[in-house]
Amino acid sequence: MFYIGISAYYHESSIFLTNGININCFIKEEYFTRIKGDKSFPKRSLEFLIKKYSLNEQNIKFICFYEKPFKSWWEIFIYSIKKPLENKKFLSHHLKNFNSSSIFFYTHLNKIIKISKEKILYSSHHLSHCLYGSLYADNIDDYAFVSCDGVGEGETMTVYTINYDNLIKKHWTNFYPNSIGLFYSAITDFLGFDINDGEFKVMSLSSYGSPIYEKEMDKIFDCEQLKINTSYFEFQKNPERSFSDILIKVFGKPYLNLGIKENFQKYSNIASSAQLLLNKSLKNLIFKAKKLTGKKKIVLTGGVALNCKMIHDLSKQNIFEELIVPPSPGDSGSAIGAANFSYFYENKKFLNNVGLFPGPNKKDLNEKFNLNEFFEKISDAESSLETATNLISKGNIITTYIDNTETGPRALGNTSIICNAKDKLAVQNLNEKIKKREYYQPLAPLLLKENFEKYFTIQNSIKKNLFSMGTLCEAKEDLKINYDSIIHIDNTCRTQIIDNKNSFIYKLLRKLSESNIDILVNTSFNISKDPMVFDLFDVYTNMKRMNVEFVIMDKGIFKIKEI
Amino acid sequence: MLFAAKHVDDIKLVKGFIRHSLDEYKHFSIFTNIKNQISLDHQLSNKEIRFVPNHLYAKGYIYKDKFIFEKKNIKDFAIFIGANEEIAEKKLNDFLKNIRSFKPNHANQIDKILLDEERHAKYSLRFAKKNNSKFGYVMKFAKENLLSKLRHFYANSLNKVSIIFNPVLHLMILIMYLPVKFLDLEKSNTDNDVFKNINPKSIL
Ligand SMILES: [Fe+2]
Ligand SMILES: [Fe+2]
Repeated sequence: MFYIGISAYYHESSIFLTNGININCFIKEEYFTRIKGDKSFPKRSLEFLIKKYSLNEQNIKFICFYEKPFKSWWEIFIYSIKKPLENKKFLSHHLKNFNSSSIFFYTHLNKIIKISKEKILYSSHHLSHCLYGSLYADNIDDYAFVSCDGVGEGETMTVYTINYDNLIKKHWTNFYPNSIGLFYSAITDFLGFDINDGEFKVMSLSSYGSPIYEKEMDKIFDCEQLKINTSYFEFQKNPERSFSDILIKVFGKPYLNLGIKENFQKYSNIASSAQLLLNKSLKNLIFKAKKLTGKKKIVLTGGVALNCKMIHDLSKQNIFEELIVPPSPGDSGSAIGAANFSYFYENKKFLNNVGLFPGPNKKDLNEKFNLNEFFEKISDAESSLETATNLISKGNIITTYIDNTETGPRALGNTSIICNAKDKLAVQNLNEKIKKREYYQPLAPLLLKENFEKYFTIQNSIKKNLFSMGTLCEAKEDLKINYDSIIHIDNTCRTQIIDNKNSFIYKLLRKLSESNIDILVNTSFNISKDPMVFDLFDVYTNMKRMNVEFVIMDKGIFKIKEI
Repeated sequence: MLFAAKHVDDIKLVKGFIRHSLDEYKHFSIFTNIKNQISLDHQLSNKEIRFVPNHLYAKGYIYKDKFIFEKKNIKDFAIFIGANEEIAEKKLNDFLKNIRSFKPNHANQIDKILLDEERHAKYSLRFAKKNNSKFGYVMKFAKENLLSKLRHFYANSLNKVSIIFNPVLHLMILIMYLPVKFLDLEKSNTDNDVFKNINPKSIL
């Protein structure tokens, strides 16, 4: 019997299917539509699963939506309608969106697959975050499960515990509009980046500045009480702009061009001040969670947990014994939390850990693709290691398209673009020409777990997150000698370590170390503003667009052909 | 185009669609570069001049839940592409006339796009002519041209539609305001047994 979790309508839509034993499959709708962050009902993903697993009314136990649809729509509405005239723009927008909202989830679902209402469940937004996070904790009773995001069902921060009898307790929750996530998004908007996409850029930018606006920020968000001062914001009244004129009075003109030096410095300072406020707020949230639950270990989920700089900064303050961030802590990972909800509902026990690569295997995605027409094989699987080592040490940038797919948003080696991190030219090329990223966004190093301590330092409490790029760590002197192009301006790196001896990347790093290359640069296989590649058609067009020649696949190494 | 490439069997067509999609990606990056250049020249942020794909929905070029290729059979798809590539070509030419004198560099880049679009139109229409009857071709081609004009008319009148529609929404908001005002629900921020207290079948 299959359990299916769905997350959709607000952030990138996704589906997770499991039988609770040996089948797991996680997919995002953007893989099929090629629209980054596609939030529409995940129709194509569902059709893919229906075909692959011959899904029908009989073999589906439950389909669980990750939140309460009406509550989610209503809680934001009821807040704004208290001042109908002031907020009429937002309210009209919210009403207009009613019929495309998640309230019609069952209708949308039924267009794709006929399924009786008895098989439909609705989890709760922050509970789904918590139930996803719980999969990554060894002894659930040791942890407090903290979620922190923009808003979900009118809640913005929640603290749960799960004891050995699987009793789930909610200890505290903070309500909309008191949201540190929405605060950070509004600053993202102010600085000229897109909300839900530009937050990473704000984080990178913050390392270039100093928090000279700390006092101003403290008036905007009270990090002790975790309360927002709404006069600085407009997300509750204006669907087009999330900050108010009062914020402009404090920080000056929004949307300045970062290509100009003074603007860059000023905006870095604002970003740095916002980042500091985020750190202080999360520190207090974690204090609160510890006090309420008596736990010293934390699992952190929700979109805010993607801020790996904050994770690293908090670890230095020794406020927890351990902090775990699962690989996809945002709403898209909540599809897995929702499936866990339905599994628990039926079996009174939780799913097992789904690991780092719960996505489909590449071989199941390309039955129709005529490989020989588009690629030329230059080496068999047996000699792939040798050939890849050769290509990389000669300065080539190559792509990987192997095995199972990651949950995202971070590519962990199976769907990546990699190059020798020692090779400055290759690294620069990869960042600016190929990925077309901003120069202030650092690239991530990837290395064997056993080599980590030679080049980096990190607090033990957050070490586990290195497997999924969930945190930053600090560069040691040894790293600066040969690998300075991957070190961010503040001497940190967003490092990924690997210890799975069966994986190709592990073997490749082993082989490369024979030629004195210990570290690869690893970035997701896509051009910025595009989703990660999914099938071989995407692989071909992306490689053409990026002008990259070689791809490692399970069957060997291939060179792109002209068509 | 990429979607179409994934859903046809004839390898020649697959390759044709992929080449076309690569051209369109190239055009996108040319436009993005021009946009970035303009924003740097005039000290604007990327947010102040932006391409909003939603307009495409509004104009009906893209269906909200389907790719054009899913809505049309390949014969009609070819006519759609051919007709609209020609329209795009004309519009770009008008645009070029306006900017050639003061933005010669940008104009040169757009010239490159025009050459591609001309080729796309030619290929699509050649395929369409081969696979449609003469009468069918003429009729469908005229239909696509007319539809395109209607879409532009509709998109340009969208603002006028909202002038009528918005007061209705505002009235609805005021009507809802009164009952909601007295409905101040007590919210609890703790729960001692989440699974016992949640109703998994409810959307509330
Ligand atoms: Fe969330
Ligand atoms: Fe075209």
